[in-house]
Amino acid sequence: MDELAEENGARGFQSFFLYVREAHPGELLPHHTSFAQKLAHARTFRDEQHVRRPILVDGLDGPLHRLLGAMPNMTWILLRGGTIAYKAAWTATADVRRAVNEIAGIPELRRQGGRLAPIWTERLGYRVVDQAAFMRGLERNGPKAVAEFADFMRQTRLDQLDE
Amino acid sequence: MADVREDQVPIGGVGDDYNYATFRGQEDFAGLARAHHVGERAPDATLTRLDDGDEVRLSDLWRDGHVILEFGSFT
Repeated sequence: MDELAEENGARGFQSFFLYVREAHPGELLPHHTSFAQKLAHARTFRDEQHVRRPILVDGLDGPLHRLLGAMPNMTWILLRGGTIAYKAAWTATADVRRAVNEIAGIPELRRQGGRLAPIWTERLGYRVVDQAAFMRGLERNGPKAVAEFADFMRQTRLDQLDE
Repeated sequence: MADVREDQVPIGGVGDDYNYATFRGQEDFAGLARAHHVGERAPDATLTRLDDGDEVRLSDLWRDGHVILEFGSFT
């Protein structure tokens, strides 16, 4: 997503990473109990993950995150003026790139004289999951994060067997 | 803080449970579906810039151009 940000800065897109609650709190990165702690986690994240985009931090109780669905790794695109153009439950860079290219192409379509009308779409997209990186992230957070995710997956499989 | 209209109900973990200490699959796809839709105006909010600690309004960002906002934390 950093590369996408750098590719599209000159096309009028500003990119930000919004730091929200810890999705998988552990011994080393526990749940937030103060805003100072949330800021500290965000700094550690920026430095360890070498994030190049500007990082914004939501309030301690996640006011914006909760209004927009509270999924752990969403991406939203807001047009100049604040209209929502794209929202995705999970961040898939290729999918975001497609949306950005479509938005960036609107001025050219207007120059060509076409009459543009908005449409509303809903579709199921897919992303490639880097499970190894996700597991490394859980381990970074601590053994508790690893164990809780394993318990959740085990329970999910049991629930599916009951269906 | 986010600007909340009367018809907006914060979702995805309420009250003290937002910063849960134990992961139990709190991801809420239904919550995302109920959240603002494309074509609507996004809610405004005050956020903190990590680099300098200053507060910034989301509306100040979208006034300057399109905004790509990725949400996340360590995992």
